Amino acid sequence: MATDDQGHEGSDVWEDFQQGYVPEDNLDIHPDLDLHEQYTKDIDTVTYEVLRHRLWTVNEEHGQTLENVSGSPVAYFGQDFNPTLMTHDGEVVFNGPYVQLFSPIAELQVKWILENRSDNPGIEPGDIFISNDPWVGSTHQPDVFFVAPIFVDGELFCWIANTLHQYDIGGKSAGSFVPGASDVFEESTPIPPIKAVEGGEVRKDVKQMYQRHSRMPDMVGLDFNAQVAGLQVTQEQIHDLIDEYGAQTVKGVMDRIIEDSETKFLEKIRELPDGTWRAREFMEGSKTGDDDLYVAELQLKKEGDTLTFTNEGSAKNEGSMNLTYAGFRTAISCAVNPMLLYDQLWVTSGAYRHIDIDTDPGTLNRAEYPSGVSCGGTLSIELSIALIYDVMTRMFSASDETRDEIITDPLAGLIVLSQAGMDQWGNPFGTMNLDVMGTGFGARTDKDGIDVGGILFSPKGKLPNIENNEQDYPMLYLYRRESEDSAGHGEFRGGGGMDSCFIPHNTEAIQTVVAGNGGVTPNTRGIGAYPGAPIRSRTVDGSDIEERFENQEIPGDIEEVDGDMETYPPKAEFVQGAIDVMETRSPGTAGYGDPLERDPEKVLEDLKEEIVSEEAANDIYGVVFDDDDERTVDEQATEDRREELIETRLAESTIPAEE
Amino acid sequence: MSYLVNVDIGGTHTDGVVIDEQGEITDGKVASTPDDFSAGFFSSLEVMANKLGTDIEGLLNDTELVSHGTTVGTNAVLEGDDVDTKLVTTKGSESVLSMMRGAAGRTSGLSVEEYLHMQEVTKPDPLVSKKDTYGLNERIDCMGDVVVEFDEEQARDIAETIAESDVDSVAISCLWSFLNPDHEERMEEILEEEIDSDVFLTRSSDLTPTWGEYERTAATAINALIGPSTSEYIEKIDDRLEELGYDGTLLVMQVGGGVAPAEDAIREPVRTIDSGPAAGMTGCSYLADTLEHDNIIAADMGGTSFDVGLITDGEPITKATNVVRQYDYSIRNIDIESIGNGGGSIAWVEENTDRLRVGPQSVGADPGPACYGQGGEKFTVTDAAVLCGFIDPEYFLGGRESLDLDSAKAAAESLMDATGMELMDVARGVIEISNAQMADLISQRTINKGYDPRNFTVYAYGGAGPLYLPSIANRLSVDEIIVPTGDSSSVWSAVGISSSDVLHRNEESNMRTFAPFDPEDMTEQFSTIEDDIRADLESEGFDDEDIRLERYANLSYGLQVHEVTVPVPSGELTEDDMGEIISRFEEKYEQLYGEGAGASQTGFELVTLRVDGYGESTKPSLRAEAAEAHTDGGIVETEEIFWPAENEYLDTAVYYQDDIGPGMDFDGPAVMRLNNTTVAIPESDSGEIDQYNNIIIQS
Amino acid sequence: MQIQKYLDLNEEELTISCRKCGETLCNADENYKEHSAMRTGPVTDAGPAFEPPKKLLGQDPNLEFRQFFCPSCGVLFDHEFAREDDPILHDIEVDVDSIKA
Ligand SMILES: [Zn+2]
Repeated sequence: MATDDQGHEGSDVWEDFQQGYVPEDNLDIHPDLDLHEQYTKDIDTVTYEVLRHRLWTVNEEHGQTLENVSGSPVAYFGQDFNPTLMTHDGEVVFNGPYVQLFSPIAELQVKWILENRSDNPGIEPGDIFISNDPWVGSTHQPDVFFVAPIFVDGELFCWIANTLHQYDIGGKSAGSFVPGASDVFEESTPIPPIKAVEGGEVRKDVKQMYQRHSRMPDMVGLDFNAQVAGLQVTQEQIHDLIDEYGAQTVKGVMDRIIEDSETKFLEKIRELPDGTWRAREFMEGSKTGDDDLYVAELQLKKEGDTLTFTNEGSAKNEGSMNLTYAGFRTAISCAVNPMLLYDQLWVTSGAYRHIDIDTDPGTLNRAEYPSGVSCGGTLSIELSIALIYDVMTRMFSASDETRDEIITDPLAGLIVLSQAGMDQWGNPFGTMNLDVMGTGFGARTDKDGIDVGGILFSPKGKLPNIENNEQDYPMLYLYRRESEDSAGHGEFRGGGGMDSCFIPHNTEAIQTVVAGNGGVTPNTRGIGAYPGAPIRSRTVDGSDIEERFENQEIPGDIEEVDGDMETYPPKAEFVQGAIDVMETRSPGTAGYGDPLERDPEKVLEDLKEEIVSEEAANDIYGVVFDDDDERTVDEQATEDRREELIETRLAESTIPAEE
Repeated sequence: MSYLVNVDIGGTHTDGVVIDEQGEITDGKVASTPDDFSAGFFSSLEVMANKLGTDIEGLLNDTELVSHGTTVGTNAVLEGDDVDTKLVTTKGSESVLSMMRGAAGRTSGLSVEEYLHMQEVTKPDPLVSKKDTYGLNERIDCMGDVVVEFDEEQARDIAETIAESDVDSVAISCLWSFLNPDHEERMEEILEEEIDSDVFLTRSSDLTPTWGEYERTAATAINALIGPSTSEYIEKIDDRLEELGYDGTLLVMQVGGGVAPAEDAIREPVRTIDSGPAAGMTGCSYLADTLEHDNIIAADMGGTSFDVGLITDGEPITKATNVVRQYDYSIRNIDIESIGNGGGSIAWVEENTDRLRVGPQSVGADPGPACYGQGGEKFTVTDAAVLCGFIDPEYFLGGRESLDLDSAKAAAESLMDATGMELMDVARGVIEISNAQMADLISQRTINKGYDPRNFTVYAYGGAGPLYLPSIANRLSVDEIIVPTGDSSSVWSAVGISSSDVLHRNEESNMRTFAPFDPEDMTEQFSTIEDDIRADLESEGFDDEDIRLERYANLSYGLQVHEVTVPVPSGELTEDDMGEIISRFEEKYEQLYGEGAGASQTGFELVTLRVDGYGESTKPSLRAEAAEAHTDGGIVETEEIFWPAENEYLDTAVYYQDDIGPGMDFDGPAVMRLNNTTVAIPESDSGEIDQYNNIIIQS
Repeated sequence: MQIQKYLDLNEEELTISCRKCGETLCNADENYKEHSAMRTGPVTDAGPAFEPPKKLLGQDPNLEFRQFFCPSCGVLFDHEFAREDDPILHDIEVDVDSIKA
């Protein structure tokens, strides 16, 4: 690493590439780069509110431009993108309401660029950097960041960035999601921040290098244009704002937005006692074909205004199951934003000022190069988010101010289904089935979760219609519905996941890769309640489905179908033949409070809507029904049954300290 | 005399207008009557009849056409009518309505602030619960081919079970029925045989044959839910009108633009939901045609909300789905976006951060803003306008009401305490924040969708629109604002209904058709749709010369999702036409989504074909009686009025209703206090009143 | 002070007790779960939707489902999944000194 005559060194790039970039409080930026650091604190209430709304709108419009120009189904249906607005030194001012995972770590990209690109090749007006390096600041390689500085009178005023999930950016599996990888060399090669647009001109050499990574260079090129267009349109809008209100005022508003989020965060945190909260869950298999369990641990220590995360006891990084520092860092926002900062429009940067991450490198939740990380945007981050919820919801339980903000469970697992083959129109196809969006949504402290409520931190990610999937891929659904007994039982129950059952249709077979976690045990626990049901995938091979169709019969459940039933491990690879019936179950979410405390009428309602089975109603909720046509709760029998269950609980228990 | 009579019922007010042959407008605004909305309908008629010196019978005797916009359907679906509705769908798809496409069910139609507050959000109560849903053994695939034959026996059992229950309506919606309606049609026949004839029946392949089972089923279920009450309501009005001597057709406003004869509206009441704002847009297009404006931002600000729609090349922009109660449903509608920002929006201070906020909550008609003096204690946008001096407390609504300035001041106190601001700073702040929110919505609707607001004219209407929109337009660099027909802008939706033609719109999804397109196939497909529509219009009594058919095609690039609608020539299509369709698509795509955004290398897909068939109805004449010209307003009174954007008191010209008329010129700063609305012309603007009474403001 | 849905921490006595019945469980710096009534069972005890691990993994990682109840009133405090040899997770540890201060 060359040191120039002005003593600028940047960060330790090769250590960053090995362990993951962790910015210091003081960034080492080349002194020739002037930062716009002045701002006015003297902003009246009205100007503040007007500009705050305007900045939010500008950032949202940024997302819209991206979606418009791209037109890719990933952007449109999956809403798998997010725009971000940041200060000159990379603190996030606003991120859009799209996939939450992306934005907070645009901060890392910017800080790294400031430290390591400010002298060579330099940071100039009209530049755009691209990067997808998980050891710098990406969850995984398909999420490519485009990052642009905005200058005012020769000073770096602020940064804007956007991220868009790419169809394919290389690596051994189509789609660049490689659950079977042993290390990063089987995945797409990470691209650290490089300058792709120079003074407003696209660098053709860099663009071609980037497109050359992909199996679908045309589409990647189109998204490249979309991401650049989004930044350029937004750049103009920010300049208009600065012209109208002055740079000092706009910057002052940015500063206050972050300060407001910090105030809100601290106010709630200060109600809590100091302490340590711990979680322990499991990753099931380090890669496809591996059935071992890997332990993931997390400790959250609160001391005064500071929260510190450590991961003592976590398994070593191995296979493809790992998450880099950047992914873990952004996972925190998925808990802090919905529970503490919803009225600050999810501005996490104020909170990040008080969060330290002191995890051990070389572990599955702080992966070292060259371990596999392409599952970082899905499975590995899911596990970390789950652990963070586990510790945070317990910490929030310790104050009246924060307890009511608890949502028990973001995702107790995840099942990602990749399918490939020949489609019904005679073309090759490969897809990540978006049924993955059909997860449960966790319980609140005063109300149930939401059945098939979708991924908590992706509020705009819709589940596709059956007709969307059957149109685009050679499948025919037998059913898709809320999964029974999937909702974690509790006084307020979690939201249940979804069962999807389908056969290949107008094709010979579908190549199937299931990449899941939370299949043996779910990854979150809720509070004082039962966990949500794990994910599951199973098939009935060589089924009699054709005869059934012939007899005008559509099976109501996979277990009704005759053939060889096989239940798969959470990570599996197989071929679904033409008459093999497959069913997947997405995760349910945990409850809040003891199920014996639940209003029996609600249990009855859930029974009627097939959310809860009679077995669970009797044995877990202790609710007994009258055996008449219009089922009703037998109050006396319920009371007796609940007493009996309490007695059983105690009779079957021992007190560990007394053993 | 030959009148056009229109009544538009909203949540709080029922607006009526009678338009005579000279285009003279008489209005009748009364309170809505939620217990029986038809009462409000007829009392509005009575008010107008009295103004014209006659009674309802007299008015109706001289009436050529009665048109109606109703909110009955909207209310029914919002309040969850006490209706017993069943859904019949494909077996395996019974959870289509309860799953609501996952996250969409907890976010659709909500503001960002609402859906991010995840401690509170839930999915709404089911439109039809699962125990009222029946799964049929039948299956069609994406090619329209039958995979599982329709099970007659099971279908008969289901129909019998439904017949035995206490049922009011049944919705039928099966997978892929929009490609192949055979199974749905057979189910309908069986149900017709088994159930009482007064049960409301509706099927998706008839109502809205569009791709996507959730949105299609939701539309069908909503139609079934509101069918019984809406049809009963429309029949009641229709019958009563006939009793009172009206012998024409009752036309009912539709959300897609256009009106439908009562007998059609009764079968598809889902199309009346949100039809009020659509009527306003239709009125704008009609006026735009007269004034030769191509591009309009239609901005409607009422008491609780601010609605924005766009007209480009003279046509309102439509979208394929709408949202009600968080349900997305597929009924093509005029695309109007709405935020909770109206005259009655409440100003408040956010805890801990001390931010001054406005909306989205509003006070509603009762108790109304603090200045109404009806016990309201919340400070609203209207209270701010009263403090600034735009609205004269002694001359509210043309002097029919007076306002209570002290209550407005008292309501501001808590805001002053919390923010440390002076009274007039609060007033200024509330208006500025509210204006900024509206400006941001307009900017999102235009810039976001690829349009430059500077190429548009703003039409400002609704009770509060003309007061705030001129300032907002300045902020957006829009240099012309029209207050349509002056004071009648406050009842613009009612005016708009009468400018609507009868519209029949059929769409056909055209799965997986890639370029090169076959002109013969396309001609045949269009002709089939056109024949259906023409037959419908003819049966409604339209002659050939009154029927207008317009063809459209939706195209997309092979691997991109955005669909763009382009017009298609009529008659026999040729290879040249096919080329023309594609080049129009490419041109428009680039305009909307940016240069180089289209992936032509991935091919062109023909997604849907659509025909809009219009039966031309009698339109109001817009020409005003050549009223006495007030060329410069004569000697004008002035008042010191506080202008929020300028942040100062300005000596402002003040006009009242009788001071103004066609031919008048005016310069800002000026305020026009009309009978039903207030117009504020900023210092930098000037303008005139044209022969149609439109107030034209230019900067 | 309340530290969990069903747990109180007594700031005077520095003990943890059940909110439902008032039963004192342990000192504030101890793991309350060690002093709860613990029921251990197979993973499938977590509900009808759970599968035996062996069926999914082809091997048995000795996972178990632990539930912790109030030894007095029997209310469900919490649960955890763990391998047989895993210690009971000390998931809530309030810093006693910070409360005294
Ligand atoms: Zn107890």
